[in-house]
Amino acid sequence: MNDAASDSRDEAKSVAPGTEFVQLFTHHQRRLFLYILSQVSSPIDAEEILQEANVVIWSKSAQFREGTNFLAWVTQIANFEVMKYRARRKRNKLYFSDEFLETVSKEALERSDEFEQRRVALVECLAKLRPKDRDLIQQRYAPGERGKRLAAELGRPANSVYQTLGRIRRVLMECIQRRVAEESANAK
Amino acid sequence: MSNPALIAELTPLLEALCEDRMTPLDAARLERLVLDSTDARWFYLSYLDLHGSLYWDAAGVGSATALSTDEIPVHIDAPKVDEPVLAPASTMTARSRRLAGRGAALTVAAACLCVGVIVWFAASGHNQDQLAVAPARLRGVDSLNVRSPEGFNASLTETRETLNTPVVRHHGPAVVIAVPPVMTDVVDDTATAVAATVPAPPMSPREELDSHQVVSAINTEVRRGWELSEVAPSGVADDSEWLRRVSLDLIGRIPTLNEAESFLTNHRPGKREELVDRLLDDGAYARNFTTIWTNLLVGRKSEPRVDRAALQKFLRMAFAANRPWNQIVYDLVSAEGSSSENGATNFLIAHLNNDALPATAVTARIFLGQQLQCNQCHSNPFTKTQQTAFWELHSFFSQTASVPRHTRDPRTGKDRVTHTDLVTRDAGGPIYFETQTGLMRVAYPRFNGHDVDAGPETNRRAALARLMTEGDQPQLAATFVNRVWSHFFGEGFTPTVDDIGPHSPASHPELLALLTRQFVRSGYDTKQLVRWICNSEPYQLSSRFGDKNQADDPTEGQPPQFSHMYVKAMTAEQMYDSFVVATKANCAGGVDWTQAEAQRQQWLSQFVINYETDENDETMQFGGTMGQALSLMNGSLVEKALEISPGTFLDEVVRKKTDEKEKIRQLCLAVLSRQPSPSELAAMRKLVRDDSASRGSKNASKHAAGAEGYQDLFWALLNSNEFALVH
Repeated sequence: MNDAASDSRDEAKSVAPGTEFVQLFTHHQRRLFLYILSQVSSPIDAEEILQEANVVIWSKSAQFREGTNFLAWVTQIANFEVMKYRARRKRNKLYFSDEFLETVSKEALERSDEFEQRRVALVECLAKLRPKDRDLIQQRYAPGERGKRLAAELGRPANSVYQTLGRIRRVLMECIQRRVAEESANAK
Repeated sequence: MSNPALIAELTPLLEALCEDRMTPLDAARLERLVLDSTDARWFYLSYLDLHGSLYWDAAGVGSATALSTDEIPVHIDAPKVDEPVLAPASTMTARSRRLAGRGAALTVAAACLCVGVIVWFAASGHNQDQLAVAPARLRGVDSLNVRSPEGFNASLTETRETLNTPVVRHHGPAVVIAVPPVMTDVVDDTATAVAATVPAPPMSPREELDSHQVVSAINTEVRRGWELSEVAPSGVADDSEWLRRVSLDLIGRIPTLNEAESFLTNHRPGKREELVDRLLDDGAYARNFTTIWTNLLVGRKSEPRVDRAALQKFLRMAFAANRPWNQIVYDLVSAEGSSSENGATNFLIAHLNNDALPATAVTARIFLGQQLQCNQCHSNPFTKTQQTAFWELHSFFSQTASVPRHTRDPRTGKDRVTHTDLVTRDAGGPIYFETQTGLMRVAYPRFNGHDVDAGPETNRRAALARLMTEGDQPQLAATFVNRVWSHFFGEGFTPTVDDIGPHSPASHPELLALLTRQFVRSGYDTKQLVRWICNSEPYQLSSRFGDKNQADDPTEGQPPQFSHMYVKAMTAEQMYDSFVVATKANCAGGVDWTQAEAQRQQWLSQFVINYETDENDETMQFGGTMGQALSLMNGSLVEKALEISPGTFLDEVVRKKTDEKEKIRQLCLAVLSRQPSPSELAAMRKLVRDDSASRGSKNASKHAAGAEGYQDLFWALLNSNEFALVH
């Protein structure tokens, strides 16, 4: 972190991030988070990695040339942070190989536009959920919630909660799929 | 992407991944699938995108506003995503608290950023609005204030306040509108579901529901499954199909000709419920459930020490008196004494071989739905159960032994085993087992977190029986509920009927939980559970596929949706008993009951193969397929059935002074419990006549020739698939 701070001091002296950079930065936070998540699968870890990547992105803002692909640039930084995270977690459970991450992240970047469509669909699909299901999914994804305590809080058997969550996510997946398909059919 | 098989394989893996419950084996499989196909890659990314989006937007609370106003918020809209103010009032406090928690967790990371920002701020010294954007976008920025220099702190807070006010006013109500109660026609929990159909005050899920309420709750849950999996149920089974099914399921045999005729000509509403009640009071119900549970408890071919008849007597009394299931289990687990006098002892007597290892494995599996047998040697990576779980349970059986009792036969002068005693010895202390690495470990009696005194004065089995059966025992109840449900539907809620747990996804977790709860509340009332199931909507459905439920096929690996009745093969017992009901073959030549029962046992014994494993497994070599039935049935039993000799059903029909059509109708009704369709009737008449004609040359008598035609028809009906299956 000291590196980042001293780096940033150097950069800050030369150029301050412009309006466009700040806007791009803001705009891509979500996408970058999702990009990282596709490699680490835990939202809480992904958020932590995102924060560390943000520090680096901010400190290196001067290196970014306006007009080039911002997402491509920040994902490179994110990749590096994911690597650092994996190195730290080596002893802990790491599910996937480097080859896997490389393949997945490449694909994620190539198809990033398609995810924007899905995001709109998700909002509609969430609204269509039954209230009880929506409550549960909101509790599951409440900030800081890892899902493990949820069953205890609800007083339900853990497995039954996992089952229900899985079912709701399946419903959402199918709903999003349908909407996106309809959307693209309408566009033609 | 449209590869259902791939999706079906990926989905549970991804669910496990998102809930952090993935095993290394799962991960390897997922990685392989994703690397191998673009479709899988895209599905993986989409699923994680959903997972992440739900988290980032805190499951829609924030994103609904963000998107309803502006899809791409490039302008300054800093605190929008996180603002607890945006949450509906009811959830606000809880959310704010959690948000605070997240803030704290991120302090370190965010603080580092802050250093960078401050440095930049100090250097440039302008553009405060934009400055606010970056940290505010990062969650948990509030906790940074302590670390910030005074001026920065103040300006940041100020900026946030000026930004907050309009945002709140503008977006506050929008959230409430963006989350309307859509799908109000679907009731969202049991309590309201019940209230919707039965005029009753809303109740808490812990309250006991009456029979109608449970049935309608079952219907609601099952319908919910149909909706989610987008299947439409088949039509309701006609009376013939349903009568045959309920008779086979409840009393273990097809209806007699008389029973079929009286049910089919009865047109009172509610006749199905009435029949269920009547069959439950029939002695044949107790006999059928006794057969089923005898086979489960000691196997079809139990070891010689087991007094099968005594166990059957114990079970028959228990089911006839409808004793609570937990009491039955208590008796079976804690039984002591003579195998002939206390029938319940035979369950354990059957499983004390191999140092009583089967006793442990079978008890866990049959009563608790836990497959512990693998834990004997190693911890189970799939169920996450430890090796000690097996041995701790096993140590409850360490005092148990079976002792054969002899008497001297006065005529031969030799000792003869009369019965076996199940006894408890005064032994104490731990038992020993070896881990995979060859380490010797000890296990003390411990069940479900309860330690039992390991001294010699404790009767461990009695203690175990109490721990397993007293009060609320969800695991015991769920295991029984799942088994009984699967008995009636051909499919339980879990892929393996006696394997219930986090590793084994249930098709209808809520329904299983509801039935379990209500079964416990009812006082483990077996007949009540059966009534709920038999009166439920899915049990009324036809076994034929409809237009929109082809996908509901558990044999294809799909979780069952019960949108039509799954076809079951008859068990050997059902086959024999149904055959006897249809043909009265056992009455040929006029045998008494003992002889008939001996014939039955002899006929059944030809299908069983035992395996000498630690779980006392056995296989029933009887699939109920047509080919099997055909080859088996050409034995002496069929010969008797087709005899035109006094006492058999065929003889009765042939001798009756009725016309050809009526005779055919009766044969069909007796075997298939239904009337022949007009085209079938025509075909059958042709068969009967042709056969009679072709054999006419051999038989002078016109009467006998006709009989041979009916013989052939009867044989054909008995060997049809329709007869051999429960549908």
